[in-house]
Amino acid sequence: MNNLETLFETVGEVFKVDPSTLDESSSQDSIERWDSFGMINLINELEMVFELNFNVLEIVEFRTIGIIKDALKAKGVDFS
Amino acid sequence: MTSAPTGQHQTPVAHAILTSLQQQMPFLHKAALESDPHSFDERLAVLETTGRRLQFIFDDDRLWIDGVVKSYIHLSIEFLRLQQQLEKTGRYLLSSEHEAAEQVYHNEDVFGAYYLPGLLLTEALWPNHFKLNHAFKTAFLSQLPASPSVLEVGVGTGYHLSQLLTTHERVNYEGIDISQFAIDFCKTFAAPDLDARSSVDFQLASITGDYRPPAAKLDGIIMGEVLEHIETPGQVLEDLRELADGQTKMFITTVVFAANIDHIFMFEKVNDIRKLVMASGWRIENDWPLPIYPTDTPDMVKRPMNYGALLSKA
Repeated sequence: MNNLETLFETVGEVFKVDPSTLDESSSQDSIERWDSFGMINLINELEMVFELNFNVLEIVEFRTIGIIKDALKAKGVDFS
Repeated sequence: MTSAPTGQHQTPVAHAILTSLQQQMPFLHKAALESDPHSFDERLAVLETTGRRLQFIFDDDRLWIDGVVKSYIHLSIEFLRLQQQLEKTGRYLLSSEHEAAEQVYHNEDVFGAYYLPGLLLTEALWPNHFKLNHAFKTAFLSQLPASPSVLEVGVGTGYHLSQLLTTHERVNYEGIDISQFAIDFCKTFAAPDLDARSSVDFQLASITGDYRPPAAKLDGIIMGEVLEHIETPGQVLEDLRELADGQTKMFITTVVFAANIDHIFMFEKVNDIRKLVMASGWRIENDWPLPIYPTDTPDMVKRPMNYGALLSKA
């Protein structure tokens, strides 16, 4: 599984959504369970899966999966 | 997508703030609209008033709404993360006033940046803050004499001072705060409400340190969100009692088991606060324990709650 698939898998698991229905434009508006608890659970899962930490200044931008992917890339996660 | 109720023409600034929140962090927008829907229209009115005042403060910044909303998002996300840590570890992040002063109150990136503007928006967007402010107005301000002498411990954003000045004339006010950032913000926020008949003074000092007690007889003492920030809340309550007489009213707010970057003293349940207050020589005239999670009840232990109380000398 590549890192993009891992990202979709993690998002799908946290929000109880079929990962195959997700793409980079999937957002807080299109994912129903993306609420306060979902957001914090997602951050925790991503930090565990990709073995890194986000700070609040990064998290406040996380509106879509694409933005999260860019933040992971900036931390050295390979999406090539 | 959830949308705000009607009334955009009456509350344009509030709607602009909500639109920015919807664009920047949709789940927080949805939460603001769906939490306690009964109070939404009143909270919208508070958001309009607060927003217009912020517009006055940031008048040279065309992007002020997005900036203030970003501050609110920062504060909210920080709370959610710290609360989850607290529920895992049972401990607040910091444990001393010294750490909190260094990392928060004197930190330009925190108190000089997002903390105070973000906190102001919570007065409208967090239902518990709105309810406690409603109690502040109806139970505390309404009992003060027409020309009151008031001490505020922890001036915060200036939200209390602003309301005091708009409801009373010839106010004699002294505010104590450990943070110059808070004093400056408070002065600016409340400036439009101040007229020549009132006297407003500030002391940059810690309530647990070498502050100068006011000489005047006090009609009212305000201490919002302070007890959880100090190491010896019982001692502070006792010291403040010495400044009170039989007519003095004190309004306090604090939290039970609710995290923030600068919370150090933990109350595990509402009765911990009540016992401390009474042991310090105060009588609780009325109080408002408000669980943060809608399914919780005020008698629960180690669950996050806001708390407010109206006190008089026992």
